[in-house]
Amino acid sequence: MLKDIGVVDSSVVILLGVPMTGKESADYDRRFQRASERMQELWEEGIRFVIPAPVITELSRDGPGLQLLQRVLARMSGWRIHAFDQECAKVAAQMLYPALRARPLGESRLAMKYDAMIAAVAHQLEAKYMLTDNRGDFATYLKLVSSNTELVNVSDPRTKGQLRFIDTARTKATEIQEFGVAAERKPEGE
Amino acid sequence: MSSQENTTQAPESLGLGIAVEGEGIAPSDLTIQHLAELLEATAAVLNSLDSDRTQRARPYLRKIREGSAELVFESAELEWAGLVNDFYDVVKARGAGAKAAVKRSLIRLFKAGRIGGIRVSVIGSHEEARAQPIRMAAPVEEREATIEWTSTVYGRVVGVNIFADHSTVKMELADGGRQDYTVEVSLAEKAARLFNKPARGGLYYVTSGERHESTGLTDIEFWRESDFLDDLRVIRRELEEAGMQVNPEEWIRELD
Repeated sequence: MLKDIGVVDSSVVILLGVPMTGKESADYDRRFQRASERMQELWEEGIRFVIPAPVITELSRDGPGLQLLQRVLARMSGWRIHAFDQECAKVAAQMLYPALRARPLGESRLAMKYDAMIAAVAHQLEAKYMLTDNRGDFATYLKLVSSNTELVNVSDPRTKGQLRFIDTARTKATEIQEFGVAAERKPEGE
Repeated sequence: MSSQENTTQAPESLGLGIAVEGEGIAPSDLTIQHLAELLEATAAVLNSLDSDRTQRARPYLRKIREGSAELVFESAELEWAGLVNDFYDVVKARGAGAKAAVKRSLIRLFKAGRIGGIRVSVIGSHEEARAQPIRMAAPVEEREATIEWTSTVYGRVVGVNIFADHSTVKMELADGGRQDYTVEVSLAEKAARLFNKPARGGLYYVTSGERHESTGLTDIEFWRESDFLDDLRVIRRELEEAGMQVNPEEWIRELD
């Protein structure tokens, strides 16, 4: 039986933890809103978030990005950080062997390794959900070990329920706003 | 006590011969206890080699050759030929690279010779490589790498026991279930102060070959889960105030 655990990957931490600069696409703000709501719902449903130790490592970045890691390190004492232990290592190896062979030469293998380590923690913990904003190879990895953990892209638009209408309304509002901006710019271009 | 008989086994049926041999050994030297020990040790090797097969061979003792201490086993199952060959090969290789269970059983068989050496023969083999009986040597000693691991457990302390020779802490794990961990007395005392409180424990264990040994908790401390989403909101606000200028959308893309 799966446990009420949602394993969180690096993309969710970045999406929810890094402020926007104003240079992001219009869709990014919607992704942020949807992810915030979805994560809050999961928390209220009793899902507990687990952060695999490799996520903390993957957040390492030079330059201004380093500030996120510093803030995470300062706050993570109350989070459920799960070590990448021996059992997880075995599962990750099972996932990586066929995946690395199939990966075309020249494509990053480093990211694959982080993803496999994170997915391995989710599978090993028998987590109900693997939560991401960047599906990457997670589906492949979970399938390779016949995992029952469900991969959830927390920023995906809802396909059912009341929030679907909110998502649709937001999309329409953004489209209208973009249309308005384009219409205002048009005379300048003529 | 070496067999001097010719091996005239029917070609369609392979026999596995296990003999105790040595100059001057007479049949009377083999007691019934020794015979039982030899049978058990042979069965242990066969079982350890057979454990991974889906269909298992069921060998039986066909005969004890007259004038010798050679036990001859046979089986009607198709898997038998493969098992006999594996037996011969693993003895010839002195167990090198074999599973720990196979190695343990080989050592047992080697010791079961007691008064003489163990001779292994494949009776009725058409394969030249396996036609000659071999005298068993002691299995090779292979050093297994020892790996030490750590992990973390989250939960609530629900029991502490201090016995004469060891102490245990029982935790109700956050992921479900209860687990006892062996601890030092000082850690048991620390855990007792956390009774019925949320706690985080450091776990340490050692793996060597097929041995997986948990050495228990190395530390335990009070731990209360914070609201992960609230924490991320605070981080976001702090970074905004600090004027962080990193495009998160690009950063997420870079993860691929």
